[in-house]
Amino acid sequence: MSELRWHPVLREWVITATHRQERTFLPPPDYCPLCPTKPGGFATEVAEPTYEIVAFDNRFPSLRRDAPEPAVEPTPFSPVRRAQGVCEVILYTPEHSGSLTSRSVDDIEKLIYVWTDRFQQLSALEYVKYVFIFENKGQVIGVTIDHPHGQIYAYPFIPPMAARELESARLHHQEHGSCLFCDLLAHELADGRRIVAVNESFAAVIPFYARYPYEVHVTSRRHLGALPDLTAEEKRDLAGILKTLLLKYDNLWGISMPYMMVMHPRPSDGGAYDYYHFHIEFYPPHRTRDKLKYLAGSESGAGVFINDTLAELKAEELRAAAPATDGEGRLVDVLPG
Amino acid sequence: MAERERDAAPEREAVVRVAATDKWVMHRREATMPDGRRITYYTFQPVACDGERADGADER
Repeated sequence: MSELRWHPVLREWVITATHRQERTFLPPPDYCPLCPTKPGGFATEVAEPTYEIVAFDNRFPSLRRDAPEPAVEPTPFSPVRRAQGVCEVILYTPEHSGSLTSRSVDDIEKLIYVWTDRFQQLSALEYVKYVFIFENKGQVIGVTIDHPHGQIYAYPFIPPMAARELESARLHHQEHGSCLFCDLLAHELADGRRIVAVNESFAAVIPFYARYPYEVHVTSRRHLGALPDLTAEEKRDLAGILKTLLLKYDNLWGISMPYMMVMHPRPSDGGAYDYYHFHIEFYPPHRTRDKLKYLAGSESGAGVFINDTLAELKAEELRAAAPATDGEGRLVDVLPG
Repeated sequence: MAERERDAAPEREAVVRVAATDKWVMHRREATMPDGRRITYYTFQPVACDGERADGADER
């Protein structure tokens, strides 16, 4: 059972999805539902003996293509809507072990083409207003299946975070006649202290205002709104900088770094958002190798993040992690695979 | 409730060429899982050394 309930105080939608309480929780590797179906073995989600990259509708979705009518009546203060949308799972590889980090640059490039196609396919659905591609990595994030995978939520509304970014970008463009994200990136590249990596098409930066210690934003150097706007060369460069960043994360402390990776594209509601700028944000929850950053009272109850670190120092640490980058973010180590 | 996705139903199960680079051609095949959910398989066919796609299509 799932529906959208309006939060009249925060003015945002809350999705109820009670069936998700029953979802698969950390199955043993021999019973991974995301591996291919072995001949004579139990039936997994993928009824093929192998695959390259697969996208499928989540078995325990928050949003459904054929969402039922709400099971509850709205209150005078809280409208209720069908939870119509799409929740997809993207399998990066048939191999159970590893992560996106362990995929080659070529493999990540292929995944970018798949993300692009999924963005276009889901954006074409009339009830979809925003396509959100993301990955939760690591059990500390709440991942319930270890097989390397990401997700896509195709929402029937523009989510609050995107709406706030859009409004900031719109106001900046109105006031300055330029793109907020282009201006921020130009400032970061000129300053240099918070750069983690750069290539011809993308820059990875811990922003001046980072909320998480190792929060990195990967921003296209050319002004564009979403994955379909990328050229072939830019897709290749995105694969390269993602590989670089992911390796740095893992090499920082010699662990497979957990993170949330979220893509922020323009909405898919048919509106004009030329002032907005596509980027990807990473939020690793670790503040040290053995300590996590929790979203506690101030963050959850007041919406005020407290970052115990300085972006300039954390960027320096990530630049030094292999593959090392110099003060301008250029690779000085050879990038593996 | 006319949904655009229903208009696309005849294409399901078909293999569709989606994109190509100088290294491979990407295809998409949609199918329906036993419980009615949708699944999409993406495959990448290498390009032959002479510049022709391994599936015979000239991408130049």
